[in-house]
Amino acid sequence: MKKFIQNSFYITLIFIIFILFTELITSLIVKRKSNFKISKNSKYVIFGHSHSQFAFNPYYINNISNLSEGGESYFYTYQKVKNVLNQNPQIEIVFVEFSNNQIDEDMDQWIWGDKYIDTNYPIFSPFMNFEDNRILLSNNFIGYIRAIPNSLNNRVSQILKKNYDYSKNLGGYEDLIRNKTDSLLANSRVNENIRIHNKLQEVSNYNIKYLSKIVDVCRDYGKKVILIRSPQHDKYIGYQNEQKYQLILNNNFQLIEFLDFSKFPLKNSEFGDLEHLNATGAKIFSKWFQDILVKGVLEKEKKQVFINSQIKDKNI
Amino acid sequence: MLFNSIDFVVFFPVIFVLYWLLNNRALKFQNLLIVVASYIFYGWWDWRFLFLIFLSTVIDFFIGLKLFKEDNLRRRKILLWLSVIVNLGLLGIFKYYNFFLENFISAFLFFGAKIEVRSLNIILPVGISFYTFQTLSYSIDIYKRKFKATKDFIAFSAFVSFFPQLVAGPIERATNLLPQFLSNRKFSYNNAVDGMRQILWGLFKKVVIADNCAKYANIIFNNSEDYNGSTLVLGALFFTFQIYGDFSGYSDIAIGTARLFGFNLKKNFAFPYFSRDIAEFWRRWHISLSTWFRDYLYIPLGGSRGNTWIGVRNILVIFIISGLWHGANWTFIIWGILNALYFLPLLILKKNRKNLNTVASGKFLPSLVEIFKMLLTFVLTVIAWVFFRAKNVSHAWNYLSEIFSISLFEIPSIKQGISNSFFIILLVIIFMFIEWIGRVYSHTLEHLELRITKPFRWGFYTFLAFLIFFYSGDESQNFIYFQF
Repeated sequence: MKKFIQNSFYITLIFIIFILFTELITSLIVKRKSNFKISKNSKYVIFGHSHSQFAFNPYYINNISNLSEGGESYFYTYQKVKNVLNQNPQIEIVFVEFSNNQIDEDMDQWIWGDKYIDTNYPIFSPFMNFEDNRILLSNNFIGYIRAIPNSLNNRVSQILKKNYDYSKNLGGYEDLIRNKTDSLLANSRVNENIRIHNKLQEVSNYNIKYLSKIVDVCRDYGKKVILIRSPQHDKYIGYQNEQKYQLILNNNFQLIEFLDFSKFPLKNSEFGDLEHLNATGAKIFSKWFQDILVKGVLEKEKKQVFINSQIKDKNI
Repeated sequence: MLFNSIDFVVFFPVIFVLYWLLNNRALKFQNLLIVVASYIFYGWWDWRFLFLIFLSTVIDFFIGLKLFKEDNLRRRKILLWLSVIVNLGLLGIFKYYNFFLENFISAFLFFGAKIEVRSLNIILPVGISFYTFQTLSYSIDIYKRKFKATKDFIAFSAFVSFFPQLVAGPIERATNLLPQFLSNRKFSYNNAVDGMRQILWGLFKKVVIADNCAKYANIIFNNSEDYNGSTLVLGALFFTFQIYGDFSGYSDIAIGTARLFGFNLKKNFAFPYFSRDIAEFWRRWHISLSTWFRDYLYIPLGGSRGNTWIGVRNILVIFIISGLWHGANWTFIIWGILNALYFLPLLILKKNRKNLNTVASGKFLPSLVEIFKMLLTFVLTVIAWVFFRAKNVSHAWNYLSEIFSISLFEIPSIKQGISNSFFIILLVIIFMFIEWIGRVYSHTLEHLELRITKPFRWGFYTFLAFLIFFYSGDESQNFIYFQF
């Protein structure tokens, strides 16, 4: 029995060393060769989750790349931001979506929930440091262990195919072809359930910590970072935490400029649901955004005042 | 709980250590630990169906005791029928009720009578076909006075629920397994190492071969109307290796795991794709089920004794029932009939026991005649597997029609999803090559210590383990035979 346990231990050890070695080597290769280059004309980039993904259509906005991805927490956005900034010196301004739901503890699941770890870890694992790995491991041990083979598989396949292009993994604008707004507004029970759920939400410290890290990395690369809030329906239940939201904004990010487009006026038919613009809404908003860029919003001292006045003019 | 899951990676060493720690204490505690572990193992999937195993255990335990004591033939028959009715009744309700009901309704409709009967909204308990056959064989063996009933309820419960083989076999006989629960087990280093090798090879078959082949087989079978004949052949081949890797992989893991606990389970697969005729194939494929049908159905029906037509009838009966055992669907029945049709010429010509030895025994390469025979048997098997995998009979028919069309001679269409299959094809070829080398042994990696030196052997284990790890990231796929 002793010999059996001893040999089992040795062979397990050899196997673990072999796996770690392969992990390390493949990570180094992918890290070194990865390509995060975006269009050379992109002076502005937008990062965030579905709110900004469905709101900013680059077709109508000059010199912008929308790299937002639905269901993405700041934990994974951070991995993207540091690589994109590293390989794209042409970028001048980084817009980062900061919506009400991004402070909710639901975001923790967007970091280490099985679904999110399965999808994102294999893509971004070569760029994660010890601390990033520790967070995933300590919060979802099984999910993390399960994601390692996929991640290794992904990297080996990248190396064998010599495909280090990450452009497909950067997210981007998508047309949202739907309009559920009226039906959602009519369904008071669903809204009530969400309201109760949201009320119980604590703050996701991890998501906020990684937003700070995004801000820091932008600063390290000498890029201006601006937080934005994309247009939302005025009946959007996420506004419930507005007080907490403002508190975090003012305490944690008081030195960062914040542009609030949440009150941008749109009809129900221009929303996909209460928190996302559909393709029609995105077209209207993006054209307007391009318009205020041309009018020099980014050079204004009081940007939000200017935006509010433009929104007011639009309302009239 | 799946063998290829993280849960099992944690569960197994814990039970293994506890089990051997109990070695010097009472045998009953060791058996009790097996029962508890087995119920946890099964309950991990769905605890609600534990009562079925328990019910089957209790009924057959007491029927066994009564049968053993009873001398009155009439009462003995009643007891046997009680066991048959309870076991097959459970199977019938959970597995076949809706199938027969739908077919009755269709038959009545055909004759213009509309009947309304409610179908049952139930799920099939995993492994029910395996453990009911196992307990049934216990009652039958006692009835036939081949075996003494045990008075040890815990040992009997462990025999029924023994977790390595509970959900997908091998279907054990009480004559082989139960006595092992009644005597002390001793840890044997050689047995344990060989068991580990068999587990490793089983995992390789399941995770690397079967699950990867499954991806492509599913794409091709689920979109068969989009593909030409040659691609459909590829799909059928993928399924052929998927089902072999999946089921024989499970059996290898089960047998290997049991060996680590000091048990010897029956061999369930013996390199079936190297068979030279269908009769040999059926002596090598799912051996525990084939021999079960042989001993408890075919021989009692008269076997091949008597005139040819009785032999033909018996073969048709066991293949149809074997098909039905796999699932309540006409595709399985046709699969069974097809295999019977392959088998019957051999029976009629009395050539069904011609190839009893291992192919190319004592040689590395087979003769041209052997290659031809193996290829022919393999092709016939692949055709039959199309029925096994298809959604329904018309799907299978259309699939085969497209294969046997002019498009068979077109280049396989490498569309989205199957363009990466080349590497898996290469792996399957290497896999079959290793199986070919190991075909003379009881399992592929048996006695590896006598075949290759330690550094190469350990390197080989590490490489296999690496491949298993490398492909284990996908959502753990259930073993195909769980549904049976």
